[in-house]
Amino acid sequence: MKDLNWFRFAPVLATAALLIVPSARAEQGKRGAPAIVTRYCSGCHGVDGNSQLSYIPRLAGLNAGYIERKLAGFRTAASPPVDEALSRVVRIGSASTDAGFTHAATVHMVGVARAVSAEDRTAAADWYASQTPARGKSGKPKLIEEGKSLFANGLQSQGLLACQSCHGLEAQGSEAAPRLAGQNASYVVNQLALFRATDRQPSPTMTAVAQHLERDQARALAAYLQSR
Amino acid sequence: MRHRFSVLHVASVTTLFLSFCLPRQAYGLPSFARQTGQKCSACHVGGAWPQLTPWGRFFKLSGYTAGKSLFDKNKEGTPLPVGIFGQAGMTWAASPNDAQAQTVIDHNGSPEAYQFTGEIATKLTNFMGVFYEYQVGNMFPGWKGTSGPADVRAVHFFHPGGNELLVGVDSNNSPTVQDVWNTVPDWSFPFYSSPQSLSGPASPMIGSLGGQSGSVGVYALLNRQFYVETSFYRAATGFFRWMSAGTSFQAGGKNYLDGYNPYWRAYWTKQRGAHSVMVGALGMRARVYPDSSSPSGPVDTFTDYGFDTQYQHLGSTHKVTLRGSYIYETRAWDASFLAGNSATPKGNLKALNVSGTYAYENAWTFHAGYLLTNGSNNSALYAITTPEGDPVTTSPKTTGYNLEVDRQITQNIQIMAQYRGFLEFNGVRHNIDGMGRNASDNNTFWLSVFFAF
Repeated sequence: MKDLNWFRFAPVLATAALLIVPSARAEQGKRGAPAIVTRYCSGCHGVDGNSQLSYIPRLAGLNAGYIERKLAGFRTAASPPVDEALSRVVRIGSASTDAGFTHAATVHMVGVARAVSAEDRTAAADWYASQTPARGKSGKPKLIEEGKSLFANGLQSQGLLACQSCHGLEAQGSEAAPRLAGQNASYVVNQLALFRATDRQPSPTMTAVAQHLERDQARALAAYLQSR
Repeated sequence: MRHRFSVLHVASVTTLFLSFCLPRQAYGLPSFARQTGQKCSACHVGGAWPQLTPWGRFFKLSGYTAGKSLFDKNKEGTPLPVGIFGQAGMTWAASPNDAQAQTVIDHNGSPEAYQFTGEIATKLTNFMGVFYEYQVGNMFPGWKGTSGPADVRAVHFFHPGGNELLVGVDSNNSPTVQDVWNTVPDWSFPFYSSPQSLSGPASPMIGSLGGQSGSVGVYALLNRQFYVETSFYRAATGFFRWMSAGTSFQAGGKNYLDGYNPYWRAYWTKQRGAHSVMVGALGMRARVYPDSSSPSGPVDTFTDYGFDTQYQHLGSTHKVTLRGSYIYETRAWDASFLAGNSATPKGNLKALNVSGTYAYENAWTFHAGYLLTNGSNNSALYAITTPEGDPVTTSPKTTGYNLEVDRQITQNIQIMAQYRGFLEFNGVRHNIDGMGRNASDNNTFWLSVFFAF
């Protein structure tokens, strides 16, 4: 192989990359995003709050007061991860799997909420509240239809309240209850499972609702909400 | 010539392995976990370090600037930016001794402590971060303290035309230690190896400068998709001396760079849902003095061209990563050939590394990898002869595989079981030492425990 003059090679590659780039204009390039969002939250939630990961919640369009309240809850919820890990050394145990990934994600947020300042928490909440939610994703029509019915009417035979009574007719949410329209389905399913499995979530209403919700019904609700 | 393959030869191979393998390895960084409030699994796939998740990659590229720093105005709960690591275990070899009962793989089946490492890793300001490790390692025999990975970054975000452009300045002490992909030499599988295990007689120079070089470089990441970098490496002396603490160039056997040596890197990556892909290229031209104790006169020149790719799926429970890399190196032995230390004036070396990982939740991780190194024959560098002096091989070709299972007891404690198998060693499958030893006699099983706090 001939010994290439790579001094020419590197700039050529760099130039080629820069020429190609405009075709891939990213959702990440949001002027004005606060540093806490650019360097921190966006790693999982995206700069525009429309996470592509199905088990990470979409934050775009959530009520700012709700986000701040949620972060405040994380700060007081449990031990931060490092301390938790140290305690595990004393009582050697397996990695936590009691409520799947959602619990792990919750632990992540406990640490994050403790690591950032009050100003940053407010800045992140305001930023994501101001973002435009992405369009929902399509799913199985039958499942979506079942979920729509559950959301609108609840399940009276099981004493299940209509979701829309708190989350809004369009699942648009409020300061008290989060926006669910367009929310990632896996996240919703996991979150409901978490409500059912643990009392760590400070929401008696959702804990009660989740107790009456079958797994298939949770999937139907999630499919409907994701499609909004 | 008789007995060219001797204990000394084995020791030199082992030392070579130790010299570029141990120092370049780095570990999960507990102080970053404290700084960001995250668990290890936020940055490391399945919590098993050092494989990086998309967030882990971005955290590194953005200069470790997420979270709290020592110098933040809000001092609430400021974390101490230090951490410690330790590793111990046992290694069993298929055949620890050669036909003349000389030890090839030492301390077979005996419990050993391998290393204790201290780290300083922290966000310094909103635009600057650092990580540095100092490792005290078991050198078989004796213990020695050396600089581990060092990486200092300063970054700034620009927003030209609605795009996001991250521009960074970086200084580090090992080509590819600054990289975020587990395909490059410093971070590729096997991520850890027993210091007692053997590896082949040759490896590309781009992966052999750890703790011996210092760099300055710039990089840019556009829309978190396109990355370009140019760095220049020089011998870690003078201003860079702290990056090679514990390493003595005067003792010889090191890679002492002549002047500033260019390194470049470019890749494209795309994330869609839980899937991400990367295709990249990298390279370096390194001018190295043949004798590090006497850095003057003619040099050998190593030019590397590398290509790498990765696919990753990070589901909530199941996580899969597939990796591949290929490095082609041209070698101009301008100095060594004149001195009679190379049998040819030019040569080449090729290194292929293919591996895959499956992680189940944050508890179990399974790895499998295949390695192939081949290149020009060189009777001055790779010659093996029988005790009677008959030539056996002059090839550097070594092929093998690694199978590994990791168990995260907690996010701070990891147990590893690794089997390393060789298909060829020094270009041959059988009679690799001229005395009847097979390549598979170098196979090892390694059980180790690793803690990080």
